[in-house]
Amino acid sequence: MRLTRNLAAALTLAIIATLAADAGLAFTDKVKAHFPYSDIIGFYIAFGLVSTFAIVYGSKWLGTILERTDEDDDDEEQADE
Amino acid sequence: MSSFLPAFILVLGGALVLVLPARVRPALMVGAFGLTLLQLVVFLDLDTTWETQWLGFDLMPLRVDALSLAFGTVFAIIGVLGSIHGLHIRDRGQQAAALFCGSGALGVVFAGDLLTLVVFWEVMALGSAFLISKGGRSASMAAAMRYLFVHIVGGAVLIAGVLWHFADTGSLMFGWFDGGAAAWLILIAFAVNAAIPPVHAWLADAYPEASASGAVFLSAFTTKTAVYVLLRGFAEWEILIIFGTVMALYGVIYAVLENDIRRLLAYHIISQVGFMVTAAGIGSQGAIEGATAHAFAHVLYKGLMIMATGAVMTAAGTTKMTELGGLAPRMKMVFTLYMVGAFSISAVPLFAGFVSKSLVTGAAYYDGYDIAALLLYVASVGTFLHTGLKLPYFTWFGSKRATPVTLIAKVPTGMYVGMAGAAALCIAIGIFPQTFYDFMNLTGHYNPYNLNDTIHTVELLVFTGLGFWLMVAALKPKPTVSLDVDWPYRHAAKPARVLVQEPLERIFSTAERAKDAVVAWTTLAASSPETALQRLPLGDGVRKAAIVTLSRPPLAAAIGALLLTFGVLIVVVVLGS
Repeated sequence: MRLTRNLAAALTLAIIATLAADAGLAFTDKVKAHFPYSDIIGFYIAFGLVSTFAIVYGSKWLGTILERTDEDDDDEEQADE
Repeated sequence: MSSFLPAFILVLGGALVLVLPARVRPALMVGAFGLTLLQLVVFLDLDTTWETQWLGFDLMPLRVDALSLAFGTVFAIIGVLGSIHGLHIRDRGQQAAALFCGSGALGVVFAGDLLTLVVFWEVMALGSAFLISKGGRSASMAAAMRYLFVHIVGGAVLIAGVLWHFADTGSLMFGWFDGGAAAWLILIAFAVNAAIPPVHAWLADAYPEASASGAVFLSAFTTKTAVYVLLRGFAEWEILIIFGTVMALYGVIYAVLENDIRRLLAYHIISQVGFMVTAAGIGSQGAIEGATAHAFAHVLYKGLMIMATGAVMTAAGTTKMTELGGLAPRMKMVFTLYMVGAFSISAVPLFAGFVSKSLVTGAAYYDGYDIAALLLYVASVGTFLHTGLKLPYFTWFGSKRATPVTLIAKVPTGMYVGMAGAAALCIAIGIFPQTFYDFMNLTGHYNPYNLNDTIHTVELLVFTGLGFWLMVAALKPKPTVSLDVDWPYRHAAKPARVLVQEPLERIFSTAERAKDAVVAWTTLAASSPETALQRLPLGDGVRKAAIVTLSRPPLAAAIGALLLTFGVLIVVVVLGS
């Protein structure tokens, strides 16, 4: 529980620091950005969050399509053979 | 010392391992890889070549340039670290297989001609298969056979392509291919080893069945030699950009569904190799150098993570996340070292992956492949999500089980030393990128630690962490497996039995029964002709005539049979003439 609280606190601090850094970038001389739209404040923040949701839910959806068997099925089948 | 093949020391080491006693073999392994590393770093000069003729073929068994030297060096480094990690192993076969596998990998990267390449390619495949078979798990042998099947098919395609290429060009020299059917065959064979979908499933099938130390060698050699040959032979083949981005995403998608920590890492090998394959497809100088740097870093951090999961397997006796959890207080050092590898693969600043992966994504952007670059960023998010968050959380934390996981064995000291060595290199590369680039003989000017890239990378990582926090319940592992394209040949035995084996068995058993019946009837006819004739499906008249004939004295019957035979012969001869 204590560990969970510490991790939550660390994550909150990291989010605040990252948001501040991202806002700060708007006032700096930029190296050429990788993407034209990456100059938008918070682009990578949104990109990280949306990608995470897309990967997790996309994979879970694929998991329901791909027939998933119990882990021991393969071993039993191979043992039979 | 510089003029002989780097693979030679490992071949010699492998041969010695086969005859020397157990107490010296671990040291011999470390020594063989160590001497090879010494030869590569100190004695082997850039642009060294060894050309020769054999059976009229012009061959170049040794070609040293920046590309081959970088791959060869990292193979030797991971060989040393993997051998230290496996110092406790006494299995002669496993030790010899690791050395032969390493010699195959080194032989491939220093081969200047296709014939030498094919020979070492097959040595590597055989060594790898043997290494998997020695995994000590119930499914290891079956996985090794499937691995061998896939790689024998791949090897046959490679040989066909090389012969076709030789017929077309009259040369066996290994360089850039400019298209044609022969080149496509060779590309398919290389794709098998690179684990490009849909010929990728052998990797996640086989590597987790190897032993804790065997998997370290496997993860380093096979796919990275394939990356090397793609960079050398198929740079600027744009189809590789598509394959590479598909690989990068495929690995992270399957990793969500995985419960086995070693299979999860195996899928991430596919994902990371996807970055390198994409770079090969881009083919610019920056992309090639980025892929080379990323392959070098990848061998180290992936080796480290596989060593750490091997340590978990050794201590806990399982690799399933549903059976793990809460190990952090009892395996602090393993967890810490694993996290160095996880931060490296996730491209966290100050770790190895950051200074190598950014070269690949940067090259994708600067060469105009924006979509590919964006998809690689998505794959990066997935990488951190699984290897940096999901795997460590459900292995070392996140346990609400009533009884803690039982640790069945102590982690050997050698494992800690091997992991510490790999971790030190991952951190050193991350902190001193220019030294790393110089060591790799990279000619471009790269600065990974510019403010923009560093902050944007941190943003990606932190908010991936937030996403994980919000979705930790959805990521909870389940005791299931996901079907991949290996399903057909993993389950091929049953249809093969129904379609081929059983019909053939029926034919042979019918023939066997017929033969037995003939023998039994003939025996019966000799002792009791009348009873035998009664059993034949004959008409009454025929049966009576036959009984009369058989009732005559034996001499008369014999003469009758003889005359009948001669008569038949005469008819045959007359008709034949």
